[in-house]
Amino acid sequence: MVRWQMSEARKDFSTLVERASRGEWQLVGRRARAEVVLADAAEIAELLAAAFPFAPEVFAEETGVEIWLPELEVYGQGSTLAEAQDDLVEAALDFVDAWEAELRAAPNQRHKSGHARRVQLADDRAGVAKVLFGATAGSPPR
Amino acid sequence: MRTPRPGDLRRFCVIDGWVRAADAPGRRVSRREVWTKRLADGRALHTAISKGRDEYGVPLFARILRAQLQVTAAQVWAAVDKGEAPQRPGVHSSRPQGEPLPFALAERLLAAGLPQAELVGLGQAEAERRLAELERRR
Repeated sequence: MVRWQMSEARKDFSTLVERASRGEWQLVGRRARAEVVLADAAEIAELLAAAFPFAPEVFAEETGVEIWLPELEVYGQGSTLAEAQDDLVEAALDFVDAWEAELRAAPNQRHKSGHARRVQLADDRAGVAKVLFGATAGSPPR
Repeated sequence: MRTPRPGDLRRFCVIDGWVRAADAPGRRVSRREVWTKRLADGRALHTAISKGRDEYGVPLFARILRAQLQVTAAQVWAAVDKGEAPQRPGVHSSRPQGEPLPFALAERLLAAGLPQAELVGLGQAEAERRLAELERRR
């Protein structure tokens, strides 16, 4: 496996991207130590999906539906399951923004890293819904 | 069990010294109110008040208390009703009440024709029995 020095990587960045998108991990660092990895996002998403599954919990109430996401400790609500799903997608995105900005260093939030990264890697709201509810999730959120 | 409305949770956050996250330039504008709080021992708390409903069910409120606010229901009401800020002895470890339905099971029951109102109070074992029954009839 090729290890790139920081200066070489900077100069030849398009080659690194091209190789990484073919599935070859590109290790970059100073001296012999890899400090960062450039890798195909879809491969990372797949690896994270296997290691960090989501298991949303549904609570049906007289006047609506609530979904708790234990892995990120956030919730969604709505008058129907689809509305609660949409609200949970919003909650997960809000959480990831706060996690990235200020929560991730805290000892009680660090363990959420794998699940938070899965949400970050999703392309859009429909992608986040797929990550949270699986490929068979019903009507995609707006 | 008394459960809160969104305004009660907002008042709790204010009394307990939480900071409301502003929508930073260039970042997504949220439909929720996002609040965070740092504790002296380094823990960071996060809650986002939803506008999805105007109330909270007991099982969800129990989870918000335990995981997000890390206080008891009595402490929330003391803050909301009397303006008393809570003291936090440590992380709550007891399991919150209310049996959840796994998402996939709830979705399959609705897809199989079960009215949403009949999901109320349904435990997992009974839900699985109802699903098998609905699928047999198809």
